Amino acid sequence: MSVELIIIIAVLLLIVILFNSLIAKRNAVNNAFAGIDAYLKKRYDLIPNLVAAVQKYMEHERGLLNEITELRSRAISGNISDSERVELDNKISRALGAINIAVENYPDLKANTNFLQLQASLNEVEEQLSAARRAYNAAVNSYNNAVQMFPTNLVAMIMGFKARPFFEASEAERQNVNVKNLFNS
Amino acid sequence: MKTIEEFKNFFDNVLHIDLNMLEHKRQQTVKLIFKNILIYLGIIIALVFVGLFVNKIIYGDFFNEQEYNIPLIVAIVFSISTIILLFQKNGKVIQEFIYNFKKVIIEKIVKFINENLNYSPTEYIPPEQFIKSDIFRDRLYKYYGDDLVSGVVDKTEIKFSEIHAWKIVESGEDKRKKQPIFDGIFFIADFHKNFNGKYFILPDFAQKRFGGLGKFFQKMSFSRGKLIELENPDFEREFVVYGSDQIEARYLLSSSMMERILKLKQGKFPYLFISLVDSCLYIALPFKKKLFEPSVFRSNNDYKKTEEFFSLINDTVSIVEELNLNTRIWTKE
Repeated sequence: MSVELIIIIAVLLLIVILFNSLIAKRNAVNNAFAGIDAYLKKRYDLIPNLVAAVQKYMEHERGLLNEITELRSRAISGNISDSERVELDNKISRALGAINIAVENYPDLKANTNFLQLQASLNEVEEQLSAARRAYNAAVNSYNNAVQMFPTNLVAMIMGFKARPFFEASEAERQNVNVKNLFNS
Repeated sequence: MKTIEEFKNFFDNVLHIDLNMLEHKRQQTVKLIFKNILIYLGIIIALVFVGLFVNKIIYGDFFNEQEYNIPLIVAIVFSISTIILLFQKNGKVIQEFIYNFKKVIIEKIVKFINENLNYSPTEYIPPEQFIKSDIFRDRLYKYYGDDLVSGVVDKTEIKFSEIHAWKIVESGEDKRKKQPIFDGIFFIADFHKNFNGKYFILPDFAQKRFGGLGKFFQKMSFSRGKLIELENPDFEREFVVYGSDQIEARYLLSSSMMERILKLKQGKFPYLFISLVDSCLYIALPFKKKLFEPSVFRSNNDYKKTEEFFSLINDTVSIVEELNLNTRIWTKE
């Protein structure tokens, strides 16, 4: 076997390995994104139960409850863009936070085991959601490093792989929650 | 969690009296040990004399080089048995003193730290649970322990004890050597979140020593699951995390949990091996010396020494607060 042939085979092999590692990383990103989705769905499922549990008690927060119900139905309707989806989810997060704070004014509600269970489930989903976002960012970080670093960047360039954006907290989430505004909205 | 000042008060008002009483017992124990030695020494001397005299009667000499000197051999065999008996008897006397000391002093310290905790000087974490934690994967050859503390701290069930675990290492042909796997405190707590996978938070020797290359080998090691790279760089420098699921790992190791574990390592426990298995948190805290052991030949009526006992138990119990395990706002109660 000639030396040239060996070199060609070695280079091809290297390209295959680099390509596969890129694909694996891209799949990890998609997988992590699906993870976020799964927990978002779990959260959507909890919202109707939450609304049903609290509406008997929360007379003054009708607007807030209507808003969250409407946000949920828009989010699950399906025909929305990714950015709209993120925006909706941020709004749902804020509305859920507001309900959690409002509960403090209703001692009867705080003693209701059904509600407490729901609240625990919601806390859990929120924490899982945050974990899924962190996992997504870690996967994106690893993928972006591969896309931008030598030698995988050459393969990425040929295949048209682009760096992905990180999941960042929205401007509204970064600011301190203004409870008064939330109830007025 | 109790403070050192509170403990000092407790020592002055309660433990001090018990320690005085135990000091008296200790002196009696030492006397008994020496009394036993004298008695058994007497028996040995008598045995040897009898052997020599019987020898003389039979062979005409205390020691006859041409004969087997059977009476003398019998006397020596009995003497050796007597020495073994002496060791056993004194061992028992010492054990009894240590047991009494622990039952009084260590138990009071444990109850002082938290009323709901129980203490048993002779029990320990069973080997099944040590194996279940999966922190140390060597096959156990010898396993023992003592000083089991167990109970519920606020909402969290905990137990811990001193553990010594050994394995056998084959070195060369037909050569087998006993080697320690773990010596120290083994701690188990009910974790405050539900989870399905298995997770390991281990000291990061590879990355510390070999940097990027170490990380590469960590990625290649699949025996404990996937390598989980977390976003806290200080945490990443100290620990390597493996586990079954990337998302669940981050659910368990929230940003605040990472900070808390890091604080624990930088503070009271510089060596930490953690695993999360089957809804439980397992922590192995290696220590070189034997823990919670009173001396027999020296006075134990000493504040510093008692404070050491207290601090170690208190620090271990306070892991529950340090890791915030009592916050039960999730579906697990």
